[in-house]
Amino acid sequence: MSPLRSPTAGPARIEVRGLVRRDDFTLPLDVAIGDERTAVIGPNGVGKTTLLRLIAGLERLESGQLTIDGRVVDDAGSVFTAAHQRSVAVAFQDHRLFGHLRVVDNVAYPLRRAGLNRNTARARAAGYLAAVGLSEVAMVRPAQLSGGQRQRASIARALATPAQVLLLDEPLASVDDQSREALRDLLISTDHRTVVWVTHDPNDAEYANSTLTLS
Amino acid sequence: MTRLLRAPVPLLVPAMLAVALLVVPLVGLLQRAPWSSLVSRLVDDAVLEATRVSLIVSFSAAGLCLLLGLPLAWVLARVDLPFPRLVRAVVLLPMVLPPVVAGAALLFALGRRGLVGQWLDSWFSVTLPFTTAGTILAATFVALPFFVTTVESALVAQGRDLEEAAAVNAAGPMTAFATVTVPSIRGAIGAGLALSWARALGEFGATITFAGSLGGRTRTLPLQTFLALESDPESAVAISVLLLAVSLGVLVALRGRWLTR
Amino acid sequence: MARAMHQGHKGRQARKTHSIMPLIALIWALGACSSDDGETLIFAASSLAAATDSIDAALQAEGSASPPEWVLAGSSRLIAQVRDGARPDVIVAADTAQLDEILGLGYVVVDEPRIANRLVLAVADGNPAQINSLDDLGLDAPLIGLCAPEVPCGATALRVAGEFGVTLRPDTDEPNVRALAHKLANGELDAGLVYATDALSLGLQTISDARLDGADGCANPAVTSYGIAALASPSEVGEPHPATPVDRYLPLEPLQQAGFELGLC
Repeated sequence: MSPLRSPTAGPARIEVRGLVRRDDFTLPLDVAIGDERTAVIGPNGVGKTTLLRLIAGLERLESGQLTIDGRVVDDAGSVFTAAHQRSVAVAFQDHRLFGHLRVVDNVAYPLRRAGLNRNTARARAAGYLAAVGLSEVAMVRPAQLSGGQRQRASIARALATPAQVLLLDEPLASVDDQSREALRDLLISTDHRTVVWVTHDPNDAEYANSTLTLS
Repeated sequence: MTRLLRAPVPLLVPAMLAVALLVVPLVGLLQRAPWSSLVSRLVDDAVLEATRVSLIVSFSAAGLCLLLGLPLAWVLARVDLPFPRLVRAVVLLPMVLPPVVAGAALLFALGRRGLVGQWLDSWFSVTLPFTTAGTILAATFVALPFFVTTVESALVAQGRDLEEAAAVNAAGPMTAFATVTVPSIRGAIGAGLALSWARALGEFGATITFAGSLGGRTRTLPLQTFLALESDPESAVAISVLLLAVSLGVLVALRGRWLTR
Repeated sequence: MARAMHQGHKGRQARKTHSIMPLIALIWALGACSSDDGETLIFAASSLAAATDSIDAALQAEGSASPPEWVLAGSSRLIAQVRDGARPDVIVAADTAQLDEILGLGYVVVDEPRIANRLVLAVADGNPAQINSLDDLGLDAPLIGLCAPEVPCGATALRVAGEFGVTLRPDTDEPNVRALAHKLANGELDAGLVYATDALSLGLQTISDARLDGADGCANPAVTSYGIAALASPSEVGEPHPATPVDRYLPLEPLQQAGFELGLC
């Protein structure tokens, strides 16, 4: 469904080797992600979210380097590919929907950035909203949604983002148990080449091709 | 009403005093207004001319605040500047500077013999003092901090979360600014515009020092009021009532439209 | 001038008197007391600013205990303050007609000697716009400043223009003569009509024009005559022309040195 992808290519390989500065300490990372579906698990505060933010380009390495598909996107120095140029989609744990846009326009937002006109983007966004079960709230603003609905809208927006890599930060944490299975299937079956999925839920991890444990 | 009455007395009494402090002078002004001749005093040519100048100047100044102040607020809120406290203090300075001093400073900088003004004069034959442009500049100088602080605190309160979300949705920095940052703080932008407009409308000291006072060109309503006090105090009160009504009207309208959200 | 600006805590100024007559006796009593302590309060038109320092010095030389307190402002503002209850010992206003308004408040007008000021054609240092005469005030190119017609120096300028058939094209009508004189002094304006006293005290370059400088006395429309009123002592009330020695408050020599003309009209 996403336009920018060649389905023939295998997973995008992501390698992070180096240090990242947190508020009070420096976190060493030595991670290679090579499978289509990777679950990232580990105790709180170990840097799971930081890893996703590094890959997304929302944070910089203190030292070392980060490559995606062999291309250096961050060498802790002069090379830094900004987030909007990285072909990475993110579903944030705290949703981060745009309050001034209707739900459907939130999902259409990345499609509009990819150059689609308003009507096409909306039509396609409506498809993603239907997939996450939010068709009936497409025209309201995020403030009127419940926590679970917001998370689903955030997932729909990430799924709609044309990108090689999909990063999910606890994507199913606040959705109810009935819809969890269906949403998980939806996330697994997306055609983003690589999905990196931070989770606490052992069930989530079972669906992954591999599991990365940070400690 | 019941909720008001339940307010603790130590808070209620000073609150009422504050309201009285704000309202009593207005009542004083209103009871001195020459109501029977109000309209005829206001359709006076000089007053109409000053009203026109005031509207042009105050709206242009508010527009300049938006054009220059919005980027400045963003830079202050988002960029790691050297000496951030000093930079902020400098931006706020026109708020506390006596307006007359602000006018003198503008004169020393942009006047015909000023630091920058002498080059404007000799290279481009641009002279700002005694022109409507100079009046707009003086009003913008004093009004800008009101806009910048309002918008900057909204940006700081909002944080970078939404801008990050825009970035991972392939929005470049300018696109994110235009499609996410600005719309999501439009309430604060409206409030900043209302405040800076009101400040520009009431501006007196910097204007008279920097831009002088000429009917139809640089004489705004506050300047007209000041002059009228010399010769025709009743007319001065009438103009003040007009200023009061116009500012109240615009502030109420802007609040209704922009600030309820 | 700083000391002139923050008086008012003496209680003599700004006392609201809606029915004035019953209070006058009291104010006289207070006034009598305060003249005893040697502090004289003088309200003076801003154009007198040039002379205050030398008047202070002259009074001190004559053995006055402390210099007078000066309040300098536009004449109409000063009169309005007196109407609202201020009781200075002396008022010097550039608008003689307005002085009549306060005669009922316990003041007497001093007739002799009169002091007067004269408008001069002042230009920015070096006369960059090459102003030669009054007629050049009608040119578009130079930046011309005048006082607003609402204040005496502006009214006088209009009278001059009318009398001599001169067109005035001001770029600004300043609210008082000091503001105008300072804008000439720092070169923001090319030319303007200011009082001789201001031109003298700020060292402004002036251009002589026979129409301004030639005619003498009150016949000259460029001359503004000051009115002086003094708080009357009880014995003087009712006397239209009391022999209050103005010299006690306003020694004449410093006024002359500052550029004022004496004995006019």
